[in-house]
Amino acid sequence: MIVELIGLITAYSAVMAILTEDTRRKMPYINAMNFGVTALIALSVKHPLSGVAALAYFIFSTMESNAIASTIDRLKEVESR
Amino acid sequence: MILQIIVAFIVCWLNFVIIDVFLGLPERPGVRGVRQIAQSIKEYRGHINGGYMMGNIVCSPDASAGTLLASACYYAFSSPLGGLVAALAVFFGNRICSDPGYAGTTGALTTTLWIYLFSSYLGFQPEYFIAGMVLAIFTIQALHHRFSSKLLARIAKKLGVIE
Repeated sequence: MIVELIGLITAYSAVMAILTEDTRRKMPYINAMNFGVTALIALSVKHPLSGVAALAYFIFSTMESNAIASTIDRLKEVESR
Repeated sequence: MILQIIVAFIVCWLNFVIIDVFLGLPERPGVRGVRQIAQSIKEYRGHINGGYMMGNIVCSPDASAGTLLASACYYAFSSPLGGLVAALAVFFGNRICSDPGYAGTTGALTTTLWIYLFSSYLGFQPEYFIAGMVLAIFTIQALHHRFSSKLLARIAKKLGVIE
């Protein structure tokens, strides 16, 4: 039941990220989706390595979001010049 | 079980919102790029300070990430050691994302403590906390941006972090 609940939330966040028109406001939805995927990875197999996989997935997905957001910031800076 | 998930949800929500607000996430953008996310939420008629906090959650592993990863690793390692591993990983994740804060590490350590107490005395399983944290981040980041940013700003005002 826990996996189904998390899967539903993840799918909803992913669909909302696609449907939102403002690129900048897609980021929070993608963040919620990443939380769901991390939880699903951790719950898939009860083994320390799945915990390490969840850690790696989450930290590097956050790094990606960080990179995308700072690129958007830089693009806006160039546009406003 | 549903009741236990709801209790875990409330614990996770309070844990990460209070730590994040106290460590000043709604105050200012911590890393580059947060400003744009906050601006878009403001244009969506939300609150700018709530937007800063949501942007900071997106751009760097903070207390919400600490809460999720500590419960995930507690589950995977089946012992509090997992929570400590998660705290260390979140610390390095913060530094990789060039964020000088300690919100993530604090969140992971407090969550490890909560799960330890709840599982030894009340029979909770760590997976309830994983589900609770996914629900908690869903209410903040995906349910309704206008409402959640205003709620976060109101909590920050109540705790005296912002004017």
